[in-house]
Amino acid sequence: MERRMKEYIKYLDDSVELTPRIKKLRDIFFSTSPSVCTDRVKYFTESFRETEGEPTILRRAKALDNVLSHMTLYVKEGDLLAGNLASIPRGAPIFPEFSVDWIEKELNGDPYFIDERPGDAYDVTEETKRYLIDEIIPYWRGHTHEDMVRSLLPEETRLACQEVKGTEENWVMTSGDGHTIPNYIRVIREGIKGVLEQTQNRLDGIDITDPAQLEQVTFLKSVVITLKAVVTFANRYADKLEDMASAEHDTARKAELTEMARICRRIPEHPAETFYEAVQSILFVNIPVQLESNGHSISFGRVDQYLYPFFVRDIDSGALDAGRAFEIMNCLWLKVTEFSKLRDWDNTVAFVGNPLFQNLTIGGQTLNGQDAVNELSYLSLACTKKLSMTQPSLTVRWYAGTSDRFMKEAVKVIRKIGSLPAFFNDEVIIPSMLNIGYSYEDAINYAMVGCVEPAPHGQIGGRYGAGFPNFAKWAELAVNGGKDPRTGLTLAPLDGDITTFKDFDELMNAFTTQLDFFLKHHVVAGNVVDMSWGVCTPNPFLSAMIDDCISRGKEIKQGGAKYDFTGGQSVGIISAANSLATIKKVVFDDKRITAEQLKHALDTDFEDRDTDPSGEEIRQILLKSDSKFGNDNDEPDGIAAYIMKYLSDHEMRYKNTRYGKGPIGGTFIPSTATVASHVLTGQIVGATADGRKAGTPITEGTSAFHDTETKGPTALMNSYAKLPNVLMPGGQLFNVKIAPSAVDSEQGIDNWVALIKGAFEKRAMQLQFNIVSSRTLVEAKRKPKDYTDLIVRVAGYSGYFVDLCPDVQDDIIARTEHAL
Amino acid sequence: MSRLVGRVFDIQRYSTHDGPGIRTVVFFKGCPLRCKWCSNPESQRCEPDIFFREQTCLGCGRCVKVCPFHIPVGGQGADAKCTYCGNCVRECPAKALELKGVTLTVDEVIDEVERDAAFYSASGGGVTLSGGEPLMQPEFAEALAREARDMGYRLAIETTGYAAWDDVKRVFDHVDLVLYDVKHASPAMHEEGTGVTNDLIIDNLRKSVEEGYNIVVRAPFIGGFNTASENIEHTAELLGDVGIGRVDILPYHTYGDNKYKMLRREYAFNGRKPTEEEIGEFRELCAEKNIKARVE
Repeated sequence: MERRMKEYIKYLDDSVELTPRIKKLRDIFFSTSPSVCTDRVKYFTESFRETEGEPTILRRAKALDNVLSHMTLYVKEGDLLAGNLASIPRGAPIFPEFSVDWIEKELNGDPYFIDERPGDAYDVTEETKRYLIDEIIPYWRGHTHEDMVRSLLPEETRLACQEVKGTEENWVMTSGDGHTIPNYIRVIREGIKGVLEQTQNRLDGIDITDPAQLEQVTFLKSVVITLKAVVTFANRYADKLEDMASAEHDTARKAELTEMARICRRIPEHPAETFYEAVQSILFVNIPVQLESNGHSISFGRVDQYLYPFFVRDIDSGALDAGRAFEIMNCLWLKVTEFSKLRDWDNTVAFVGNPLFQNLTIGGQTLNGQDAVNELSYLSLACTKKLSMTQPSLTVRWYAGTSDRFMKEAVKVIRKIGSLPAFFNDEVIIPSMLNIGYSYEDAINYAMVGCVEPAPHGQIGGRYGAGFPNFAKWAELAVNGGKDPRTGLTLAPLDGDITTFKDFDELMNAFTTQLDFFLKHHVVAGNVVDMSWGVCTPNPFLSAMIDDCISRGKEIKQGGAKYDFTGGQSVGIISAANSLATIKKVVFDDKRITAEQLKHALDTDFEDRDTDPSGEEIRQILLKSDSKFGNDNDEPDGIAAYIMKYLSDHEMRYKNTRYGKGPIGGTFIPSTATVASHVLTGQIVGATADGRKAGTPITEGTSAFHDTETKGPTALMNSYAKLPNVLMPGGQLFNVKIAPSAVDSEQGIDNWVALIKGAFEKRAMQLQFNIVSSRTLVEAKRKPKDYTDLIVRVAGYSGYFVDLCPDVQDDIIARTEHAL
Repeated sequence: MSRLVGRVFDIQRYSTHDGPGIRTVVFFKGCPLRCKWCSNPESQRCEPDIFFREQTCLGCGRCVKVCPFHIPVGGQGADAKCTYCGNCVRECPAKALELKGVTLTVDEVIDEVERDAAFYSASGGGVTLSGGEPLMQPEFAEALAREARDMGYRLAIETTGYAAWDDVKRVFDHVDLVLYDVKHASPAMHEEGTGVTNDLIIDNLRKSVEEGYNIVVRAPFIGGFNTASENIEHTAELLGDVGIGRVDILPYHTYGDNKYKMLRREYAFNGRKPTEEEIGEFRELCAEKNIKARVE
């Protein structure tokens, strides 16, 4: 066992190079721009025109069937895996049933032409543009998810979300849900055949005289259509591969194509028998889910665990060797980089870097608490290290039994490529899941979804992304008596403002009043979105891939999933904590400035030079005051912890639309999975009492505000560990930037691992690192052409630095860099 | 519980170059040597110093207003009239002024040290007493070392070795690792570079080895000062003779330049980085004496 492990660790050596085949496949990504693909929208819409009057779920099943039966297929030269999302690599399908208004606007250049955006531009041909404007958009206009949301949204909620923007819910109003791990394991073990059999049995057993059961018929029929469609999809690849094989002159490649054709003929319909077949099965689940649901974060689960039995069998029998396993896994990694998602411009700012958040999890523990790291865990690290690309997102689970050797290899991957993998602490995440109702077996088998959201395998119906409650905005409103300086609206009035509050408690009450109000509307908006998704965009195939939808006869949004939570992505918690702690210290405790002086300085964005102290002097006092999270200072850390606890207590009380309909859970849960929304959401927050200028980014995740953490990485970790992380079952996001020179020695690597272990022993939840020097980033911004493959951690995901919008680039440059 | 006080100019957490693992370094203020290349000039005097960060200064003049002597902007701490009352430091909105050198009790230092306990055990690190010269405050250093060790932390000390033997012994008795500076083999050249001869230092080094303390010699290696073949030979001989097993070579750097600017003092030393050949020669001669040498 140990000897074999060493053979696999070798793949992480700098001396190991990618095979020529893999290098060529990798180059395709860098020589191809993202583009708009019309395949999906064409066949989807074509089917919809023919099924008018039928139930929506059945129409969607038929439409997916039409897409999978007719969309362009390609197999790249030398590729060992089949499956594509669009007609060419990096093509983005269009999902008109969610929203077309923004597509129309942006095709007309408002605010940017899609191919001229300052970040994440997509090529779009004139023909595609005309086709969409003339043929597609008119059919869907007024009949989309977004239209439904608009009609359902209560006026007060609209004001809260879309005028004051105290919580930003737009992205879920124009997109799909995603955020889950489909049950790959079941398809690998039973084949689609097994799922189909279960569905057929359920249908056969239905008593149609019982209206409750009658209702299930349409869902189950829709499932059958999609399952068969997926088998058809795979068989189309088999046909294509057979044709390619017969036309191929190179005998080695001919044999490969023949083998691929055999595999696609066999799986996913039948159970996988080999490692290679199991890997191919993953794609035939993942791709249809994406084509159906328009979500992102369709993650892969614990691949090193569920592929392992196949791997061991094939290695032992000699059917597979290490080199071949590595190549097949490289192809899986590369396949994920071909996928692309087109978002509207505002949400592109929040999700910049074209991420699909397809997370892949390795490490952690087995069901009986043993170290789960195996050969495939090391091979996974090697894939990410050698390919050096942003997708798939790679999660390393850590628990008290994880070896230092594995951790060292993992941090060396970060050192090499800049940002991946991210680390997650079993010792906090598992209890956080048990706390909200997960069984021990399901919790211990968690994997990461999207950025930082823990989920069981094949048992949760998504819904982690539920808008961005903006804590910094609430702190601003509290100071201003509830009145929004930007819009003049007062939605949650207060008795007085900062100039009349007698003490810090009154300020804190003002803040929680805003929190209560906006949290309520965050929940209302989230439930409206869910209701609309349930009506407009039910997903029969995804439901078939989630326990217990088939046995309950219910689509996910009707309550089919075993577990179901809705998770908001709280942004700016630390900005709020810093602002409140700074007011406490500077105004109430030290009395360095008065509340009136503070308010005037904030109202004028610190620009008034005629006051004494001047606006800038006040800003400096606020910014430099010892009242910032991240310095192991109990007061600001305690305020951040209080806010988080308060959030958890209050958010968990709210029900989602599946409450009481079957799933365990059925409530809202908090997270700080902010992606890059802190830049977008910062734009509507005025100057804040932490010394931040109006309109600039607020804090992301639970990370400290840049340049305010001055006591080094251990102090930073201590602050983080003081938070009630176990109460954030939706996941915590914590970014640390480290100077490359700090980790260029073995000692630096050892200390880095010790830093992570120390933080995790103290109950930090998640850690991720950026290992690129500010100087390099500044240089890359200046000369993007020289840095096309420079990867940075944007938030819970990694992106190519040169693809990011300029203000996101600046924000990353500004984050404090630690010398280890 | 100890209310004993000492003068400290910094407590630096997550320090990784002052002994093994992740460490907290307590910097004692005051040093009997005046090394020309010193990269921590604020460590030298026993009295406080004030750092002035010119780029951070808003030029608002609030420091002048609160100063009893109305010392002009940029003169804080450097002006002879300054009494280090700290009014200016507290008033500065931008924290462009920083007081280096405060009086802390052992307990106050321990409170800070304790915060990173989890990281010491995860990394094999601990606490390092540095300076300045910790042995200039032997009572405080001993109390701190005892207390920290009682709490289970590993202790290291960075020292010039320039102190009365009794003071050396009372502190070294409570540390796990001594990082002991040897700067020049010749007494005269040592005096030329540091202001004192090396007689006491070498004498204490010899006694420390005899006493069985865990000693690693640290040799600041400064081009033009101690890199001549003759000195390398003598140093290696001396260390071999004393019975030293390990030397860390610390090549000269100029990271401290900016600190002189912040103290508004002239940095007059004209050193250079040692060449690869010079470092190679030092390592080779150490190897001949069975001394492990590595470059920090």
